[in-house]
Amino acid sequence: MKVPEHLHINGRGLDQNFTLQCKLFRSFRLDELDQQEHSIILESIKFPDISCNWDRYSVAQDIKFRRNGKETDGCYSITVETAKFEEIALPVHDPINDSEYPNYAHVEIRIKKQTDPQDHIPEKGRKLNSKSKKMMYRQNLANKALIEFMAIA
Amino acid sequence: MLIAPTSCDVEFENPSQWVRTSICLEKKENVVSTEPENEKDFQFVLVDGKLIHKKEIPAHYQSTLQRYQSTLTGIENHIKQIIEIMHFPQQWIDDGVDQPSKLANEIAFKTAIDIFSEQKLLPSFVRPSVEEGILLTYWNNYKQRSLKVEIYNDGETAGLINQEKEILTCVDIESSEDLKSLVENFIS
Repeated sequence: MKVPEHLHINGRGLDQNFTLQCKLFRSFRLDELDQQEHSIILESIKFPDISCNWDRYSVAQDIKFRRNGKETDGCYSITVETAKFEEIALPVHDPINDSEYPNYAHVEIRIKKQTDPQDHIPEKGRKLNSKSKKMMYRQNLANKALIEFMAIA
Repeated sequence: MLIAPTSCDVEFENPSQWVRTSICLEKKENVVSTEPENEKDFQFVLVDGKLIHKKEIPAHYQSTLQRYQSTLTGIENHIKQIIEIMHFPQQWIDDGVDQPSKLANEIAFKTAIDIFSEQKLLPSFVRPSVEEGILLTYWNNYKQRSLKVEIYNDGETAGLINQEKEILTCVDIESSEDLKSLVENFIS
């Protein structure tokens, strides 16, 4: 699959100006769909450092243009407001400069610390010690996720 | 007519659940006006349109009831098998996610048995988690509510109750009392 031109970095810089309504797209497989609760299964959501595509620079279908991306993948979205749930995390614009799969729209949802200065951009790899807090964050994400297009078998 | 599953393929369905379901159906029709103090104590079933104590169930229905009072050994084997046959997605292997540890398997088994012993509930799903561990999911169809207990590879455990896309509670489970309290919240 050829990566569309709008995902190439093309000399563009970072943009950390998210609005609460911005959408963040993620892929899912059919077996990651919760038939009872009509959402994404909790056990498929890994947090932190969740990879997403920002709707300012991409469309939902673009989630397929990634390493290990599949034609059968579905896509769901969450808003930036959801990503900032209880000020546990923040979305960070983090373009992927890869020769095969460049992705200017790439965003990572990273842990925010209470002690972070304003406008601080959290680094990758931070941990959240409380398991229950982490579980609550993941379940909230599942609850608020909106299916953009369905995965296929 | 005894309102209860009768076929063998649902032999491990929770007996107290169908008893409760019968009660709920009656409540909807305003037949039952008293609220039991504790759902766990439901001892009644709907037989031929009447609520009767399970001790008074006609003899020809007794075998059905007994099938639901399966031995703990049977349940233990059932849960052990489910944990053993869990499917671990290839994509997670490719991403370097660790499979559930022996410790997580043991705690998940013990947790499921504890919940069954206390409330006669069996998990709807037992699946590995991308967070490296096992997730037990219980479903309360009447309340459209789920209970999720996640056991991590390091042995830590957390649980939550979710209802119609709202989190009702979420806790770290550090003792059997924490688990008991969470399960009681789930069925209340």
